[in-house]
Amino acid sequence: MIDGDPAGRTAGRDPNAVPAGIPGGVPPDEDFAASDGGLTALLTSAAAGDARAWNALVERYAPLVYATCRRWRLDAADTADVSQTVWLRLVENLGRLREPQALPGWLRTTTVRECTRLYHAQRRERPDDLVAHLARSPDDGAGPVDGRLIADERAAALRAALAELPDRCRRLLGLLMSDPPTSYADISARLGMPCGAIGPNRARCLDRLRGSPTLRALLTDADPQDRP
Amino acid sequence: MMGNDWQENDNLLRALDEAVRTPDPTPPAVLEAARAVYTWRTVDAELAELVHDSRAETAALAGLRAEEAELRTLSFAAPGLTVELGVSPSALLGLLVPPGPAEVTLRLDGGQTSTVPVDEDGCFRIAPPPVGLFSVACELPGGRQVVTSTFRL
Repeated sequence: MIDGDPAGRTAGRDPNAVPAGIPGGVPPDEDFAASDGGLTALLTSAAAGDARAWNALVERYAPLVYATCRRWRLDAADTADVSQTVWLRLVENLGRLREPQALPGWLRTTTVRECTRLYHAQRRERPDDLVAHLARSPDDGAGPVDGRLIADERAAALRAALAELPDRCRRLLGLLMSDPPTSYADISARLGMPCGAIGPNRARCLDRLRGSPTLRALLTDADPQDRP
Repeated sequence: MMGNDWQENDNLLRALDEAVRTPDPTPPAVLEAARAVYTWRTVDAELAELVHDSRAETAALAGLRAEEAELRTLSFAAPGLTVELGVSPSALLGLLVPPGPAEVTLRLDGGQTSTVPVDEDGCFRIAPPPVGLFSVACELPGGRQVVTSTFRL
């Protein structure tokens, strides 16, 4: 847990961290603690009329909304409609979302609700169309195509979750994922982070990724009410 | 669901690595549409949300009514005002409950707006029905602005 964790306490727990204030030492967590990848600022600015902030929210989350629609086996046209509707609902509710961290969960819930609404509307028009019925149930991972749709959704969620991390976590994970691998000495030099702190910080950042709003929303999405 | 494999650090980092190397399949038009709806942001109006759409009724009712080809009805509700819309092939028939406002403002995709008169019973008529996204706004006695959710028929 690194939220709001003063550098001193973390340093005491982490034998490799160098306490803040020591010449040449690096405060291990200050850069990790405050940021949420700009989510609060983006939402606040978008609600206040900043179109660039809106576009940044779209860039971060629209691929996940799209991937969720696809997992519900909507076709391309329906996916485009539902996606647009979800973003319209967000425009309408920008001023009412009090908790920015709840945005990814809100987007997910809204996407599933709109997929469900479309499903019912189409059954209303073609009640006997069993093919349409089957085509509109959410993906269960049974077949290879289903597996790919689920993988796409998970990948989109991971990319959005990565964007929710503090900048320093994103840079560290980026270096750890680079191909060929970046040496710890190189990472240490680039981030100004003691070699001994890289391992613990890697673990912290991955924990933080698991606890990100987007991955938490994905985690809680095994709810039966999501089914049409 | 997250999958138990993500509980392990190496697995999670590997999944993340694959995810960031995978090209995003979202069509540019979908992203553009999401950016574009920002123009529907309203600052001072209260939202009348969709609370009923006859087309989205349950499957059981759908089976009974499929042959009737009845008028589609929509209801948008805000505190103190309901906007009812009936959709016919030739027109959108509206009803404000309670009546009061003498006109509503129709906003269309692309940003054009037009003013539609409302009679003393709260009825108004929009012909032909709007194509694409639209919203209906009005001003209540006392100056409150109310706008429906943006909708596509």
